[in-house]
Amino acid sequence: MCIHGGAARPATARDRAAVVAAALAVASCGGDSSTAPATGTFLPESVFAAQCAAPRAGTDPATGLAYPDQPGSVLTENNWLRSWTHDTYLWYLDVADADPASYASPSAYFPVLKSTGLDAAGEAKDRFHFTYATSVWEGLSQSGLQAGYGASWILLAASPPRDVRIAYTAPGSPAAAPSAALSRGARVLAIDGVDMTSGSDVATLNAGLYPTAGSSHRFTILDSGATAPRTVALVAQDLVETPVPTVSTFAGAAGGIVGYVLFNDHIATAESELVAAFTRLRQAAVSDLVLDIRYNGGGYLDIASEVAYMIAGGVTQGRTFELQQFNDRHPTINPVTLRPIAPTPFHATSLGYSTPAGQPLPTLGLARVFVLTGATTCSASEAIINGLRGVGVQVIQVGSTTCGKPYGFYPTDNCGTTYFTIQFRGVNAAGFGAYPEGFTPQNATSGTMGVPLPGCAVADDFSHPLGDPAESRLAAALALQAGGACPAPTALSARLLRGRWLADGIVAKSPWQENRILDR
Amino acid sequence: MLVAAAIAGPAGGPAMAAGDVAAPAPPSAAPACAGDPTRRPATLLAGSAAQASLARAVAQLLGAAPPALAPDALVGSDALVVERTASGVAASDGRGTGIARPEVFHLVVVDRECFLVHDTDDRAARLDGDGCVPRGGAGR
Repeated sequence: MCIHGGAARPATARDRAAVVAAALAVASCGGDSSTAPATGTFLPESVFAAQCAAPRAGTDPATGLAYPDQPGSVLTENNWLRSWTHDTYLWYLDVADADPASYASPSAYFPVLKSTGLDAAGEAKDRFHFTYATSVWEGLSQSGLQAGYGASWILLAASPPRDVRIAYTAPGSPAAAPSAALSRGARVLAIDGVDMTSGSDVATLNAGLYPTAGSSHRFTILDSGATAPRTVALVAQDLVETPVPTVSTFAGAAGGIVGYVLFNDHIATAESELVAAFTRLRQAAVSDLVLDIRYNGGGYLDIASEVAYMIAGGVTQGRTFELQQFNDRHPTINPVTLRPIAPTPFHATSLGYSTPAGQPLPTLGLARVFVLTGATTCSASEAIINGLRGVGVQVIQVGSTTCGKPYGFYPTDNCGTTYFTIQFRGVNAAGFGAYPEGFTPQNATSGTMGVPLPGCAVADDFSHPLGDPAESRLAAALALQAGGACPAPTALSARLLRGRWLADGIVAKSPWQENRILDR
Repeated sequence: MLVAAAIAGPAGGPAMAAGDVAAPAPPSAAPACAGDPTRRPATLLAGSAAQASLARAVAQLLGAAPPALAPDALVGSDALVVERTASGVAASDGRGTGIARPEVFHLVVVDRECFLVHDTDDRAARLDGDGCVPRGGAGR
């Protein structure tokens, strides 16, 4: 399946079956999958594919086909990782050729198959190297469905002294119900009696933050502006996210109508919500737009392209939204799909994610856009910024540095583990994609410094709801729209989180990462 | 792309008659027809028997394991979008990954019988039990 690109053919177990057939052919011609090749010698990955220490039996529920697994060993799995990395990893030349026979498992070997280099900011070049059990990755669910209370947490400090607050709540959710009445900015002081700031029982804290459906937990909360804490009991439910929860308009202080769209997730159901939002804004004849993507971690690149078109319209016609670039071994052919590398265009019609395919999209035809950003603004969200800049649309940034992920990968299964390794970078119509430190408002003075964009560094404001014109980031954007200046640069206290200096926190929406969020 | 295990009908086939898809339970997979004027968008009543068979119908059409569905799936809308579970993981942890294209379904009523239709190939699976309600108006 195509990650970040969306349009390419899935890499499934079905593909692996074909790979195995090719592997057998290659092996019969001299390749030996049972030993480690000599240092510096790399056999095709197909020689080692689907030869597993613990082969899966039966049918893959994701494909309806038999698993391709054949009896193998840890060494054959490690050999596959080594060859696959050498062939498709974007920075394969940075990878030391570690002996696959020296590692007791693929899970021990995979982490060394990455660049250990640093980027221009002195941070790890590769921060996106991970795995999931294939059974987990291939699971299906209703779009946006997650167990929770309807509160999205922001981790301002994941390690003691921890600081966890509510970024936003979903209407109609347990968090927003009158019995709880949780709202943006409320700070979590304790969960089930465990102190959030310094408690050592991380498991209890994580279980409360990322619950299973039906589970009940007691939260001690300090509401924004309150002086005394209160305790609420929350019961988790299966909830469906609303990725575009707020659309509104404001009268510009210097004239015109300013539209505002809160866009939190590039999931499939976002397509129909975005079409409705931009249709409404077009009907309102907005002359400027504030796109709030501060908590949008990405998703379908195709939906990002649709958003960019809906912002800019005609100027995007026939232009490239993003082009994938692989390592120098694959300058013209995508090594995963084996198709010629083709750009993702600006989509002017719907793609069928949740709106019937082929319908003309509404567009505002704007020459500039204001984007509200934070450390969680990542990947496809950054692609909106970069794609628009590539066709000359002015992007004015208010907030803090984005995550910095101009990269993508095709999740690839081998023997029941799905591996994620950076395989391509995305560049815009102007050929630019060098933003591994993200995008940063030009007057920022703290945190990770990325590609400077016009705009203002403004701290996240938890004292106002998102979409409130008094909220600091939106207020700054509205002031800029009216011809005003930036507020005085906020003294953001940058924190080191996951190897990056962040000027604000990370919003975590998923229960899957629970053990990687809170540290002892 | 997932491979449906059920037999797919020919694209653009003849107009569907009610009897064409009235197979016995469990839910059957059969070609539906987008142009059928008797086909009306529908929704489900929460907690109904028809809703209880929904996950099984999705699994049948996808040839996959039953997906996780919200308790109010298809209650307020005739559309159901199913995608990889890990989308939430990917989109929320700062990695910003995407996923394979989603599977989109619509719920319709044909001659008082309720069918889940897979948009990709217009195949249908019947939902058993009560609780499927036409939304009214013309068929989509």
